[in-house]
Amino acid sequence: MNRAVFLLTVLLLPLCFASVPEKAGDAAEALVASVDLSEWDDWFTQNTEGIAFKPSDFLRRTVNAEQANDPDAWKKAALEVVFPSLKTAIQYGMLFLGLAVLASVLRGLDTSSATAETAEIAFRAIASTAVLLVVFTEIRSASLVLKRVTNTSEVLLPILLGYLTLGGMEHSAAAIAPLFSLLSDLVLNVFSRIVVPLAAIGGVLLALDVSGNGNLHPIGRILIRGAKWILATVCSVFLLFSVFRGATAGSADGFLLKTAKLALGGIPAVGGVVTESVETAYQCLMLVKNALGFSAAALLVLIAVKPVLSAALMRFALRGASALCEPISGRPYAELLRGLSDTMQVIVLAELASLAMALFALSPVFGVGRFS
Amino acid sequence: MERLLLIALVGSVTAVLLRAVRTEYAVIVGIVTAVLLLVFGIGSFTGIASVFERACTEFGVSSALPASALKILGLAYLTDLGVNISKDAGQQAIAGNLELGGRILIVSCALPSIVSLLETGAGLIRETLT
Repeated sequence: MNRAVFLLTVLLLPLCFASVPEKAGDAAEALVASVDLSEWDDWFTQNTEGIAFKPSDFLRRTVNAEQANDPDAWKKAALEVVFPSLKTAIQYGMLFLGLAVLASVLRGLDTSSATAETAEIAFRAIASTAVLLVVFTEIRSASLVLKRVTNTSEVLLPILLGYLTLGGMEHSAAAIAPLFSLLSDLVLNVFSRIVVPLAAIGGVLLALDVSGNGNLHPIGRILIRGAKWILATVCSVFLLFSVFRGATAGSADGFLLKTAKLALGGIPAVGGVVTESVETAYQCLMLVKNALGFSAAALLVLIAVKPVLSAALMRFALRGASALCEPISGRPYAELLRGLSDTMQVIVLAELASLAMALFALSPVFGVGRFS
Repeated sequence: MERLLLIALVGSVTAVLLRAVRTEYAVIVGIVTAVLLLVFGIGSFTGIASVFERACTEFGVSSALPASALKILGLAYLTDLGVNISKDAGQQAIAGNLELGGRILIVSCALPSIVSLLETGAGLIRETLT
């Protein structure tokens, strides 16, 4: 049945393009116009915190091989994203170093005295609260990114499925549907409900160890390590699944179309003309399909880039501050910063993995129909 | 730094010289020297404190936190100063009681922060689990 629908589509498409087969660009533009991306545009505007990008406009430009109005727009956007995050990371570093310098003032007291010991514990509680509040903001933003990737996948899927089905690439459509549902139902759920909470609990336990005797450290470290293992396992399972599903789909669609082309080429007298028309129509489909896939990828990347960068820089600020603080304020404070930097590492990895897997789920959209 | 060094040197020499003549004067000189050192030392410390306060405000960290941190530092230093002076004067009992009082004050100052730490931790866990 699928093959019949596909052959019918392939046979009908040349009729659509037969009148002007040389104007493949016009045909591609007509195809682009038939794809409604207003939902993507709206979704993007709501979720990207001021990055100027419109998927429908981007798709049209890609298909027509047009230059953007402002060729430096990407550079400017990158600077707009990088500089504020860098500035914030430097300020974080300043805050942590300020805490370390204040903690070092306490080391001026006679360390054997009970007052110094009590003051150090009290001060460590304050420092832990301040650092935990900062990490809290980043973890909240990471949870938001995971939710956004889940929701974006749900917004992308119907349009991609519709387009692949329209282009007769039903095997690929059948491959990406379970990939996206696996991504949003299992992978992102595991990330947001198990990995991030485990890392957060680990970080909280490390921060609560204000007495500096290290009793809570092993539990916190085990939880953070556990979160890393779960993250790695889920990623591996997803990648294995997507490789098996995606690898065959593209070949199946490509093979089907090549068979159709050969069959049409065998028709006496008109076979060659029809095959050429099929080729033109198919190239248009490929052009729009790839542009659509690239738009979807750009959409996902731009939605996550700012929070991921901010979390990564925060992790480096914690790590750097920990290294600088150790000689100033002593080991327990440096341990606190190092432990929370490990928590942030898990958070950054979860964000990056969710993004990478969403892009991987999109790969059948790029990969199908590569044949000559 | 030179000023601090000078005050410490003059104070120590004077106290040593006076101890041989009148012990109570030596104690007074010791107190005055310690207070002067603390006052001049705090002058440069306010710069660090203001940077810390500004950084806290910028990241939405409650202004109570830097205030408590500074209060704890101040209490710790004053208690330590008092304890050392009392010990120098040979008043071990007063030194012990002062130390206990100082520790209670430090703990009472840090208590809201400890509660806030527990609340932040619980809030973080609650938010990631829901």
